[in-house]
Amino acid sequence: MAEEKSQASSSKMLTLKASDGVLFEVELNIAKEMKTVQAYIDDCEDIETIPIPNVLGKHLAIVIEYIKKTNEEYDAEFEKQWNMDDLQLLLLAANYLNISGLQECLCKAIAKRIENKSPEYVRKVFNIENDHSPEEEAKLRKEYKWAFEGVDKD
Amino acid sequence: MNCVGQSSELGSSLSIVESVENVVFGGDVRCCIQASPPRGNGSRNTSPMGRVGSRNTSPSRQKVVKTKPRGLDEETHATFGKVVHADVQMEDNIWAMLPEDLLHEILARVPPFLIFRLRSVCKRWNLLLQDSSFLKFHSSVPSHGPCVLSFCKNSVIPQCSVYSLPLKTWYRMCFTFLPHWAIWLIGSSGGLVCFSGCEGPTFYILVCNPLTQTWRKLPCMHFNQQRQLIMVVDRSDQSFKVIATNDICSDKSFPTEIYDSKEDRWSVHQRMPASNLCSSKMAYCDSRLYFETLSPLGLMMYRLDINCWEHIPAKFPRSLLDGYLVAGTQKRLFLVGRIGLYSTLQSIKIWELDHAKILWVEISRMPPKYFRSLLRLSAERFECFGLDNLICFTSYNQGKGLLFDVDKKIWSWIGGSAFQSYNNQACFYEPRFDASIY
Repeated sequence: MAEEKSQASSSKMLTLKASDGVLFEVELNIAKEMKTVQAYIDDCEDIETIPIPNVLGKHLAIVIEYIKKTNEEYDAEFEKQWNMDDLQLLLLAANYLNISGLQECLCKAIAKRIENKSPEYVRKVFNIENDHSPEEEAKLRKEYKWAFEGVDKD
Repeated sequence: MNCVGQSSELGSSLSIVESVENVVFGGDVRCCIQASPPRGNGSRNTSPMGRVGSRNTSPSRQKVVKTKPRGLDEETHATFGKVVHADVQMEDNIWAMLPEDLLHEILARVPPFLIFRLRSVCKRWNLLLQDSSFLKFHSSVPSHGPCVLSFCKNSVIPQCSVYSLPLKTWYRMCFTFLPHWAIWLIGSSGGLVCFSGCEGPTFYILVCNPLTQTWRKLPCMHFNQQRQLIMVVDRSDQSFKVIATNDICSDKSFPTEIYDSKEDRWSVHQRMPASNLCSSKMAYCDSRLYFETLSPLGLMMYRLDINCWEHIPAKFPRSLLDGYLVAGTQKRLFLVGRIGLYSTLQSIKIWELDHAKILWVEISRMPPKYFRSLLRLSAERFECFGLDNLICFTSYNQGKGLLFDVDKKIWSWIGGSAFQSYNNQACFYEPRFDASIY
């Protein structure tokens, strides 16, 4: 179980240092769930403090907690607490740290949040400029007009 | 290098964290982004200029630190330290810096029907369905879930709707890409849908993928008539087979023919040892085709591995006039039929074949309230089809759909009434972009 991970581990602790200098002491086996960290350890065996330059302390804390607690129930509730910006930063963190379970959970969550939205909303969220001409866009909408029924209100 | 977002000079508009030695700017923008919640400067992403100034000079800045983002090759360097200058266009929104493969991983999890909407977001996204990275993720994420396809060809224009069970929504997908002669829905498997019809005097079969709007006519059979057909897809192999048994019109017995998409041809096999009258009820599971015969009511099985027919001496329930064969998951085979047609105790029952004992075992009965609601007139026809362990009933005259989950033993109605009355043909369908017609 997720909880047992911390008890059954060796007593070796590792320090992770977030980009804003916040330090986290974690058990080795928790840290190893982050494949990037694992690779780091493989390369430099004696290291005690590993810098995580891309992830803020706030997000690293969330990631570590996820690793400790992940199970079906936890995952289902996990994403509900975060806004879109946090989700994106967490996704980038999970991607960088190479934690596939968390990455999948976050991709699912983001997909769920955009799936029934209008293209305008999605453009705003992803900050994408609409480079279709009005004619092109009208054509696309017409071609797939059946897909535009039942869209969530922005 | 393209990236979703406004700026194609993405590389130069990023602030690179000082302690990183190896950063890749390539097809995937694996950015090492320093972003943080606003610290009183109003915008969602703080400008890099602001960050650079206020960041801690940690000791690690001087060390050579190997960071190795996932998938990174150590040889690839990029000049880091592209500090942003105040006048460079900066993404206001951190989303724009999302690496493309992560974007594809997200979009691959959006239900297929809804992807179409997203195609109008921008030109790049419009090409999503041709992007191999997106398709790769799409193939590997769990399937969207079962949908019910309802097809009705009244005059010229096919009316087709697809009900997504997970989304509980009907989508009036466009089937006008099909040739006008395709009027009979044979079935669906693995994202492909099979139709047949007559163009002039010739009988043809086609397979299509409704999502990609592609279709292909199959070569004619050796004994090319309107025959009882079933299509099965093998996703692991990316191939499909169509099996043809008896002539529909005359009940003549033809040699069984099998079309294999890998060879793009029909092979001829053993004729089914004919009973007098054959029903059109077939089901396929576990590499076996099950066929219900009438007069007497019995079960024949065609084994694809050894290409021959076998009789299964399972005794059919008494007072069952005829029934539907429905395949479940793995080896499960169900029989669905009406008992007591002319009595007041009429009902619809479901049996499962016990393969070991060669026996039909009753597993469920449609509750009377559903029965009365589905079939207004007691002798009314109904259609029945299944996918995994879901069985769907549609009533011939009323345009209603009823679902039964065999495992959970739950009955539920399909909302909305997109089942056109009479002329309606329906089957289960799993939307997939990657189902190939070849």
